[in-house]
Amino acid sequence: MIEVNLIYDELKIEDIYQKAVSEECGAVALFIGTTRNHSDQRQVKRLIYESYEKMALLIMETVCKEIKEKWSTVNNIVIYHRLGEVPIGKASVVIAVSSPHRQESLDAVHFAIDRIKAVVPIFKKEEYENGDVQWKENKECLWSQK
Amino acid sequence: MHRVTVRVLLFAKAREICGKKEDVVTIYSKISYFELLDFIVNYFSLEDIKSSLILAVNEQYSDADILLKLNDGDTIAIVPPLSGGNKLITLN
Repeated sequence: MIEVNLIYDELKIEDIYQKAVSEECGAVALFIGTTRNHSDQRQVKRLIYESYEKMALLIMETVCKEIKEKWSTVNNIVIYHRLGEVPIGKASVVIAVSSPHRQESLDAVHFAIDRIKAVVPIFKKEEYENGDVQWKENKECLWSQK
Repeated sequence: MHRVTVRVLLFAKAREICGKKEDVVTIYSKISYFELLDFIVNYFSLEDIKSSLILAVNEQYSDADILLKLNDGDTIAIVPPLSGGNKLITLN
């Protein structure tokens, strides 16, 4: 089972885990990306995520299919990303993968978060304590100039 | 040369610079990626961020070295750099 979603509300980690867990599996690997209160030594006051939602969902599904090709024993893959304002210290992305044994799900979750950050069109805007605002342009993105 | 009318979507900084998130433009149906990028950058005044943009056509990242064949109603998205991660992985 594959499920990908973008929501403008708090990510319910227990619910996402419940979607991934399987009686055929001995492991669910869970990655939770959370919003940090600092960035490049600046205090972050607010974080806002924006997305090209239609394309983001398509590419998130593609990432899931890549996982299934790489790790054939992976069972369920559930990826939720939160959009809009995300308060500091809250989950912005949750990835849950189940597999019969732990190694595949651990590897698959690691692959999923790296791949998502490199190719899924989701943009992050940071507002700092001094009032400055910046769309984050990170070196990881394939077409960033940094 | 045949011309087509396409939908253009703008996100993040590109959206803020031009002040709208969507527009419609008429362009040549056969156009190289770089000709399209030049046109879009000029039309929406995105010179400041041109070097960090990528275009997507109908929800797919476009290849920089191909000749595009656009149809009426196609969607071109202006995609600024993404927001995170720590590994360079090749785009499929």
